[in-house]
Amino acid sequence: MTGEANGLIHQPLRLKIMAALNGLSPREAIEFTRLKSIVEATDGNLGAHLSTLEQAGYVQIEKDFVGKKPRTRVALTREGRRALVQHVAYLRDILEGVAPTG
Amino acid sequence: MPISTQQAAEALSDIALAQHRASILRGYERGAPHFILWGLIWMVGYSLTDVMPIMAGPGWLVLDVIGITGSFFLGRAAAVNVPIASRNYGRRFAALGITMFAFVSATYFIMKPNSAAQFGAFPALLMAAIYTVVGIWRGVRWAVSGVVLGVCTVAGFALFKEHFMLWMAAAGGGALLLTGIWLRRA
Repeated sequence: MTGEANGLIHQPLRLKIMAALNGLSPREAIEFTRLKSIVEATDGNLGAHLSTLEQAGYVQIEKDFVGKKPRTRVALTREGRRALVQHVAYLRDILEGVAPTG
Repeated sequence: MPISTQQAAEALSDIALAQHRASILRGYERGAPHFILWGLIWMVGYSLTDVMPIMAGPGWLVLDVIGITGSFFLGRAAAVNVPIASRNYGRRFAALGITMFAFVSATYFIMKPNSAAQFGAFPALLMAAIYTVVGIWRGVRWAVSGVVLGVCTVAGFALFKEHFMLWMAAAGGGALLLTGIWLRRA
C-alpha cells in the first residue's frame, strides 16, 4: 500500500488519539475520560484536538446523559480510519526509503 | 509535509504505545466488574465457611454457580459493539470459571488437603498466580493484585490459621474488591 502524508493527523496528540481509537471496532465508541487517560492529555487540550479531528470528519463525538451525569463518547469514522491507515503507510514508506523524507 | 526518518520512527512508536496503552486500559475496564463480583463472592463464601463449616461445600457450590453465571453476563455485556472475534466473551468467562472449578476439584481429589485452611488457601493461591502471570503481559495492576492476594493468603495461613477463613473473607475478598475498583478508575 502506498502511503499518503496527513499533516492534520501527524500532530503528536492527534496521532495518539487516532491510534487509540483505531484499536476499537468500527461501531465502538470510547468515553472522553477514558480517552484522556489513554493519551495523557488535559481536558482542554484533548477537547481542542478532538474538535479539529471532528471538523475534518475523522472522529464522531456523541454527547448524552447517563442518569443525570453528562457523558461524551468519541469514535473513529470510516474516513478517519482510512486516513490513519494511509498516514501510517506513509510513515512506513519513509522508514523503508520509498517515500521522500524532509 | 516533509517528515524525516527519525520523525517517522518516533510517530510509529507513539502509535504503537497509544495502541498498547488503550489495550491495557480496555483490559482493566473489562476485568474490573469480575473482580468486584468475585470479591463479594469470596467475602460471603469464606465468611460462611467460618461461621457454618458444615455448609461450606454446598455453599461454595451455589456461590460458584452464581459467580460463573454472573461472569457470563458481565462478559456478554462488555462484548456489545466489539469485533466479532470477541463477541463470545460471556462464554469465555463462563468457561474460565468452569475450568478453574474443575481444576481445583480435581486437585483436591488427587492431593487430598488435610485441613480446612489448605482447602481455603489453594484456590486463592491459584488465582493469585494467574493474576500475576496475566499482569506480566497485560498490565501491572493485574500483577499487583496477584502479588497482594498471594501474600495475603500465605500470611493468613502462617499467622492466622485459627481464623483463616475470616481472614480470607476480609483480606482475600477485600483485595479482589479493591482491585476491581482500582481497575475501573485506571
